[in-house]
Amino acid sequence: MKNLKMKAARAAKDFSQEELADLCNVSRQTISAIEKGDYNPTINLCIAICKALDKTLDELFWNEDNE
Amino acid sequence: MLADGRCVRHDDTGRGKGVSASEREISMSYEQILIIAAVIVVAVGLFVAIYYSDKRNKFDERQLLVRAKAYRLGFGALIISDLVVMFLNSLEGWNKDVDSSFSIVLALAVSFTVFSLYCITHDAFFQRKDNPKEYLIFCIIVCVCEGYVVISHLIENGTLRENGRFTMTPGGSLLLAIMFLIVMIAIIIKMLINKAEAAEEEEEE
Repeated sequence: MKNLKMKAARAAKDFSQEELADLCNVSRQTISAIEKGDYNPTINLCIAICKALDKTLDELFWNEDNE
Repeated sequence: MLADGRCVRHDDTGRGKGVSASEREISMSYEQILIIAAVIVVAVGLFVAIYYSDKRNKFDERQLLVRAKAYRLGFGALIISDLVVMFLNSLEGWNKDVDSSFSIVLALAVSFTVFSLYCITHDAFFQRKDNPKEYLIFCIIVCVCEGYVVISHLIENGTLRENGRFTMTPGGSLLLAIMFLIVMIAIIIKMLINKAEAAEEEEEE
């Protein structure tokens, strides 16, 4: 499932995938894979992304459909 | 070995020359020292390169997972190609045409190619700050050098075989040239795909 929340948060911060990848110490392709829903990141990477985008884990990674 | 404990060393003219046992031991130890020195130089060079390399430049967690799967696939490919090579080596016709050392290197090359292609297609071949163009230049140099060996052998002998058999001398070079050419083409295609994806991403934003 695509992570549109993360994509929207990144766009709101005016970050490119490359810039967010640099902040999180991962490759651009990894950020792209997370946004496309092709890869489930570890909690450490989730936290790094949340810190870079000034969001909480719930705001970016909690899927309400699963409740 | 002569009765007085000396060895006979033949020079280019075919004439024998007496060499004492101690002299023979010293000349062998020189070779050993050279090999050990080369290993130490390579080990120190690698250590320095790793120690002073950019600590931020490493594979990320997704890449490490992909590479773990690529290692498994490469190992599987090695086992399968080894079995195929063992079967082919048991055939008399194949054994007459192809040297067994070439067959073994063929199996290794298949394994390396599977590993590389899986990593390249899943963006796990290069570390984050690596420049694929530098690797492409390395691939081109290897292809040109190995291609030169193959072509010069072909011009000299008119065939890639040696004494009627496909051996490592030109065969191994041909194998390496093909292997690096495949890797090079895969890197170029992946670079173009990634470039298009990045452009598409920018357009969306």
